[in-house]
Amino acid sequence: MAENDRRDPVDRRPLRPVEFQILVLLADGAKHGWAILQRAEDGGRAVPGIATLYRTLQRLETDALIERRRDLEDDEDRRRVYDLTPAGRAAASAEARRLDTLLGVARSARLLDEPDAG
Amino acid sequence: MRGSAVDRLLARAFAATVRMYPRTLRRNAEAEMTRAFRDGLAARSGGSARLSWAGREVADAVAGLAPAWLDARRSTKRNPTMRATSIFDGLGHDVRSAVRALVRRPGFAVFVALTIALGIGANSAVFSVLHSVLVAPLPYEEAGQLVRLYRVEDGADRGDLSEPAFADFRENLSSIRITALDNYGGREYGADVSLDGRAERVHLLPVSADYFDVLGADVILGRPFARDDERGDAPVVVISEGLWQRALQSDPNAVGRSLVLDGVSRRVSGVVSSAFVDPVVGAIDVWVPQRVEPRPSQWDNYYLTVYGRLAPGASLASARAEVEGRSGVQRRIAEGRLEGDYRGTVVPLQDDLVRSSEPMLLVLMGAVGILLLITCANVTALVLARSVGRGPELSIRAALGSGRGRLIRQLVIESLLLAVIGAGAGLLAGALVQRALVAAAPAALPASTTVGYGWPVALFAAGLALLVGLLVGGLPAFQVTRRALERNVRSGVRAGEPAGHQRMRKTLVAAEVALAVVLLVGAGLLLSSFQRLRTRDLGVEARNVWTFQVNLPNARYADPEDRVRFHAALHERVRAIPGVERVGAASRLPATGRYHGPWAIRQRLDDATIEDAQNRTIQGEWFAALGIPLLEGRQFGPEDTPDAPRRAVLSSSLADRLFPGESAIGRQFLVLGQPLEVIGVVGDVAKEPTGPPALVVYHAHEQFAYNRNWALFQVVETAGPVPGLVDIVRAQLAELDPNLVLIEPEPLSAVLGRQTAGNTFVTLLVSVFAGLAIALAALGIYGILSYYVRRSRHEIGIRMALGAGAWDVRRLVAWRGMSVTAIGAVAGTLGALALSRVLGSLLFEVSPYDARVVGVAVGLVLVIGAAASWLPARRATSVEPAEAFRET
Repeated sequence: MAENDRRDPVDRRPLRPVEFQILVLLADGAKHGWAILQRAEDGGRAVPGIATLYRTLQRLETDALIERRRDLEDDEDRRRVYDLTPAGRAAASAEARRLDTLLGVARSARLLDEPDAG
Repeated sequence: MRGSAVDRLLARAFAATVRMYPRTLRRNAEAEMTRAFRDGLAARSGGSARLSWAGREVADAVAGLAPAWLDARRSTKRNPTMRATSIFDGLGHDVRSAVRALVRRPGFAVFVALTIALGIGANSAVFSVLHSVLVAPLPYEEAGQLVRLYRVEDGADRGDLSEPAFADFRENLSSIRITALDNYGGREYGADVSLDGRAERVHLLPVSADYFDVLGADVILGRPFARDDERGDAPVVVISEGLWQRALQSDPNAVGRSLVLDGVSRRVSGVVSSAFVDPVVGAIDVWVPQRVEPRPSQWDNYYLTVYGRLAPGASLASARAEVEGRSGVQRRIAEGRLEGDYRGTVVPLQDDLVRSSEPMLLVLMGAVGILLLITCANVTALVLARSVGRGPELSIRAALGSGRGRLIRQLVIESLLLAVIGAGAGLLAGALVQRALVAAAPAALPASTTVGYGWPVALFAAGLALLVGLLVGGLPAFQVTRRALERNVRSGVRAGEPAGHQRMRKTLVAAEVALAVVLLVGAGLLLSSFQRLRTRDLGVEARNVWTFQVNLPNARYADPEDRVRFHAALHERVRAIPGVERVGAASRLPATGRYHGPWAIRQRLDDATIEDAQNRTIQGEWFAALGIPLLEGRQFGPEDTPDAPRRAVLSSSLADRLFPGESAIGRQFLVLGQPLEVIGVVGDVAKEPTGPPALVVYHAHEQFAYNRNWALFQVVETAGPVPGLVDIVRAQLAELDPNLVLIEPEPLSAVLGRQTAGNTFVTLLVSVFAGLAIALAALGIYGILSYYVRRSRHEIGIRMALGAGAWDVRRLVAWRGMSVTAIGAVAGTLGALALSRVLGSLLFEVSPYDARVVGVAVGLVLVIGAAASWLPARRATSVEPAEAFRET
C-alpha cells in the first residue's frame, strides 16, 4: 500500500466550497472558530453550521492546510486560533486560480453578460 | 422562562450529538463547539429565529456524524499513531462486514428476519392493546383522580347506589366530588330524535349535575345541567358535537333551541365536544338530567352508577375512609331499609374499567411472550448451526489480532441487524394485526379505550429487538468464539461440531417443544371451554329467531293500555307475514345479564327475601317463540286483564326456591310487597352466558304496563329463513305508526354470541399463537435433525458399510429427534400444569388440569415431532457408503 499521502497540495483534489471559504476567510490573519463564523455571516455568504465548521477545520488541519495554535492575546481563555500554513495558502490560491479560469470560460461563453433589457 | 427551557434542551441535543464525534475532533473542539452553540443562541433574539437557527445547527451536527467518522478513519489510516479509541471505533467496519456476511447468505437472513418479525409483530400488536387499556391514562383530564363509588353488601361487592344514598354522599363528602348516572343495568339507552321529518335513533344517558365537570368534559357551547334540573322531567338536554352538527347544522346559537326527543320537545342547554365518551357506556349523543329525589322509600332501590373525582390533596385511602364512615350514618338514617353490612367504597376508575379485560389481556401477552421465546430459541439454534461453519473464518480473524470481544461484537452485530430488520417488518405487520385485533375485540374492551399504535409500541418493539438480537447472537457468539480462539488457525476441513454446541442446540429445541406444549395446552383448555360455552343449553331455542326493539315515546303513549294495544297490533301484523310462526316480547332477552337490582321477593312478609331473582314483563307468545317449555299450569291469556288479580309465571328454579317440594300453582307470593298468584311454571333460562340459571318472575305486560313504559324486546320466530324479513316488519311498523323506529334488528344468535365475545377473542388468538408455536417447534426439530444427518454422513456411511440396514439408520436418527421431543414434552407438561391456573377466570366448566386436553396436546406434539424427524431420517439412508468415505 504505497499510498502517497503527502502529495503536493496544489494538485490534490479540488477543495470543497466550504474548505475554500474557510481558507479565504483565514487569508487575512489567524482567527477563532467563532470569528470565522462571524466573518462568514458579515460577508453575507453561506454560513457553515458549527459542526460543519469544526469538522472542516479538523480536516484541513489533518491535511496540513491550516494549523491550530494558542491565542497569545487570550491565554486565560483556552480558545485556539486557526491560521493558514504555506500549503494552505498555496491550495487556496490554486483553487482561486482554478475558479478564475472557470470564470474566464464562463465569461467567454457569455454566461456573465447582463441580460438584455429589451 | 419557556425559552430558556427550550434553549437548554436544544443545547443538550447539540452537545449530545457532538459527543458522538470521533475523539480526535472532540479533543480539539468539543468545548469550543458547545460554547459556539450557546453564544450563537444567545446572540439571536426572537423565539422562532432562535429555534430555526438551533434546529439547523443540530441537524448540521447530526448530518456531519458520518463524514466526521470517515475523516477520522482516513487520517488514522495515514497515521496509525493517531488511532481513535472511542467505543464506536471500528463499528462502521463491523456493521459493513455484518451486512456483507448476511448478504452472502440471503436465504438465512430472510428466514431469520421473518421469524423474528413474526415474534415481534405479534408482541407489538398485543402490547399496543394492552398498553392502551391497562397503562395509558383514560382520556380524561387528570384521569388518575377519577374513581368509582360502589355499594358493598353481602352478595354484592360492586353494587349500584340508590338516589337517597347518592344525594347523602354528595352533600356530606369533602374528599371526593361525585356524579351519578343511570346506565340501565349496562344496557344501551336510546331515544328517537326527530330531524326534519324523519326519526334518528340516538344513544341517550341520564346523568346528574356535575357529570361533565367531574369527568372534565369539554363543554363547547352553553352549560351542563344544574342541580335544579335533576327532576327527571326537566325539558333540557346536553348534546354531542356530532348531533349538534347533524341536527342543528352547527348553529353557534344552538343553546336554547329545541330538539324533539321521543316526541317531547326539549331545550338544548349545552354542547359537548365529540372527543368525550362516557367511561362505562361509551359514545353518547344526548344527555338528559338524571332524577335525584331522595325519598326515604328509595334507600334500597339501587340503580345509580356513581363516578367521583378526588378533591385536591385527598387520597384514595382518605376518600375510602370517609365514604365508609358516612355509610354508617346512612344505615342509621335509612331506618332499617339498609342491611347491616351495607357500606360504600371507592375504587380507581381505571382499575374498575379494565377489571373484566385485564385477565384476558394478560393471558394474551403471556401467550405472545411464549411465542417470542420460541422464535428466539429457533433463531438461536439456527445461528448456532450456521456459526459452526464460520469457525475457520473466525479463527483467521482471531489469528490476525481480533480479540474475543471484537469477535463477539461482530457476531452480535449481525444478529442485532437481523433483529432490527425483523422488528421493522414486525412493527409494520403488527399494525395490521392490531387493527384486526381491535376489530375483533370491541365487546371485550372498555368503552372509553382508543387503541393507539404509537411511540410506546415502537419503543417496546425496539427494546424487544435489542433483547432478541443480544440473546440470539450472544449465546452462540460466546460458544463459537471460545472454540475459535482455542483452535486458532489449526484448520480442520471437516471440524466436527463441538459437544457444547450439540447440547445447546438440543436444549434449545427441547425448550421450544416445551413452550409449544404450554401454548397448546392453554389453547386446548380455551377451546374446550369455548366449546362448552357454545353448546351450553341456555334454555332457549335461538334458531330462526330475530329480535328488535321499538321505543314508544311517552308523549304519545302515556296510557299503559295504549302501549299494550300497540304491541298486540304489532304482533298480529308480524304474525301475518308468511313464514313467521310466533311473535312475542319481553323486557330483556335471556342470557344477556340482569335488568335491575334486587326486588324483594318472598313467599310471606316474614320470610327472608330472595335477592337474586329477576322480573320480566312479557307479552304475546314469548315462551313458545323461544322454545321455553311450559312445565306446569298455564301461560298468560286473555283473562289476565288489568282488572284481574295480579298473576305470575315462575321459572322452574324460582318455583323450587319459593315452594320447595310442592306445586306452586295457585299459591301466592310477594314482589315488593305486592301479592301475586302463580298460574304456571316454565323451564329455566340462563341469566348470563355462564353461571346458574336465572330465577325469574314473569309478569303479563297487560297487567304490569302501568309500572313504567317498558322498552320491550320483540322476538320473531320463523319456520326458516324469510328473505327481507326486517324490511317487511319495518313496513308493517310504519303502517302502524310512521314515527317509530325499528331498533337493532338482528338474529338472536348474534346477540347471544356477543355475550361471549371476549372468550371467542382470546380463544381464537391463543389458538393461532399455539399453531404458530407448534409450526416453529417442528421447524426446530427438523432443522436440528437435518443438520445432524449432514454432519454424520461419515458415521452413517461406516455403519451402513458394516451392514446396518436402512431401518437401523432411520431409527437412530429418528430416535435423536424423538428424545429431544419427549424431553421437551415432559418439561412442557410440567410447565403447563404450573401455568394454566392463570387461565382460571377465563375457563368455563373446564379444569385447568384437564387430563384430556393435556393428553391431546402432548400427543399432537409427539406426532409432529415424529413427522419432523421422519424426513431427515429418510434422507440419512440415502448416504452412499463409498461417497461418505471419499468425503473424509
